[in-house]
Amino acid sequence: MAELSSSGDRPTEADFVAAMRRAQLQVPESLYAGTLAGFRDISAHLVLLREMMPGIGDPFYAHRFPDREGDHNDAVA
Amino acid sequence: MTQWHELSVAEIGQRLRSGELTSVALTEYTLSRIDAINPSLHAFVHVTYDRALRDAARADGELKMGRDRGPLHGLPYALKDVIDTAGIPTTSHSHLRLDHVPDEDAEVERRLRAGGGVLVGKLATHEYALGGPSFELPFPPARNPWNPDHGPGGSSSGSGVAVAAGLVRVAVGTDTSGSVRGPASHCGVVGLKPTYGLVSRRGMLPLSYSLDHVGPLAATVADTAAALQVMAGYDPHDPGSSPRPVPGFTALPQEDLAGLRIGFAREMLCAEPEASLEVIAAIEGTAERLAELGAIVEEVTLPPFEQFNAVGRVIMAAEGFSVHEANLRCHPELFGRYTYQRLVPGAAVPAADLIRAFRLRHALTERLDREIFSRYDALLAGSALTPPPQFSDFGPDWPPPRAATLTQTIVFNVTGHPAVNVPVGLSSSGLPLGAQIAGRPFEDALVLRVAAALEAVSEGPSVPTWPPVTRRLDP
Repeated sequence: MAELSSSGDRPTEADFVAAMRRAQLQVPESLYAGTLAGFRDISAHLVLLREMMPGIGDPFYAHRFPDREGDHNDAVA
Repeated sequence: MTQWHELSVAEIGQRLRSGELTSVALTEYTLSRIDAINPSLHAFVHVTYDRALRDAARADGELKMGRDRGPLHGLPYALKDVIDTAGIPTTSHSHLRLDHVPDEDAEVERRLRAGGGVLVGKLATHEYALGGPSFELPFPPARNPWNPDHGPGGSSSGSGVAVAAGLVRVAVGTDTSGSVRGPASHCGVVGLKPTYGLVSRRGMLPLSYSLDHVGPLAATVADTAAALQVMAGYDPHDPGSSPRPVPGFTALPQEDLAGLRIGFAREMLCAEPEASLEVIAAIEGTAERLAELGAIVEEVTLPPFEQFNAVGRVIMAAEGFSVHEANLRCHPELFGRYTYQRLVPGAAVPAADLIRAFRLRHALTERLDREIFSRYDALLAGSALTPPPQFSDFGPDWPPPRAATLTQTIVFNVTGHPAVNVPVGLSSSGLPLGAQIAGRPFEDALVLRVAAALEAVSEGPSVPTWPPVTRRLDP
């Protein structure tokens, strides 16, 4: 998954296997297909986020800060 | 002759206060109705017979002594089974929580009980307020009372079913990406996701700390407002809770909407290729009714739905994984298939991406405030974008077909704005359709006012209508 950041490519099953290994998760064989599908779904959202918010140079970089607990309420308060 | 379950919260209150009806009689009636109907619909996973009758007797006694605790005094209600109830099992519909009996009430339950409400039981949910309709869990999935071959939506599935089937007038659900409004849409009832911070989440099992909301589902807008009045309020133990004073919600003005400006997110609705044409037509009809009621309705362009969806899904995946990480690692076999398959990918969200999602959430919220709610008092949008799916649409593995879970509700979990599902009609197959009305932060009362005006002129199922279910579907 780390490679995804620089290339923006769709993740592969190898990325999924590596991510699960890093998280110390052993996905049971019987649950593998749906879990991989869930990974692909989330990864597609990550691609969009990285396109929207590349960091330096993104349209919100200068004046947007990470959230913390409670800030979300401040934003709508 | 009107049956007791067809009476509104206000009508029940009048009868309780006049002595024409007692809470004990109403609670006995409710428990009998649950016994008769629940085996077909599976809305309840636990019925609190003895406690309900004790609380009902206390409510009657207090009214006789002149102590009136408010709009829900003596009224039976039920809670989604992710909301803690002291001394009563709170299972989250999961094998992993079957033995969980909380020591303390959730804050919302504390408020409902202090308000004189009578808890009659705990309601089915998708496992951990996430998974999906599953048959391998400790309890069967709730079934849609309009047609039990169809699902009721989720994850507050039992809450939608219990209200639609007339088992309770008021139920409580939780909503992280649409889990109150989706079931409300599919079951033909009202469901409110309040402004973030208005109702405490303390004591609900979290799914996503910064997206979770607690909200009421009820038979009518007025019933919803009565429930919100009791549920809302500051809780210093919920970091997202707002200290703002709680306004009155129950005095819904009986007037038209003249002068109100309402944006219509038609472009977002129609941009979804799998949205049902029936749903689109029903929501377009809703826009016309709002205009007939005197509102100024204009089509508006929101940021693309996929931006809201990406933010919400990524935050929910990461926060949800953090809640369940230990069990996912040690007891994968005890999760429902869908739940496991949806939670585990959260392990693959890097910190940098979670921060991107947080930052984009702020940006999207500001855009909605600046571009929409600075010019419009309310916003009409899609809720569930299809009629209720059939159980057979859901295969063994996640994901089901996109149309089976299609909603645009997550937009307002991301931004925190209040949003209510209001029934707007029936599909050609006789299943409920809903629309969503959103508003400015902490203007929940205005959102309810618009919904009430719509309800008054709607052809939709605004009161619980429950076709008899004569067959038992599960072994």
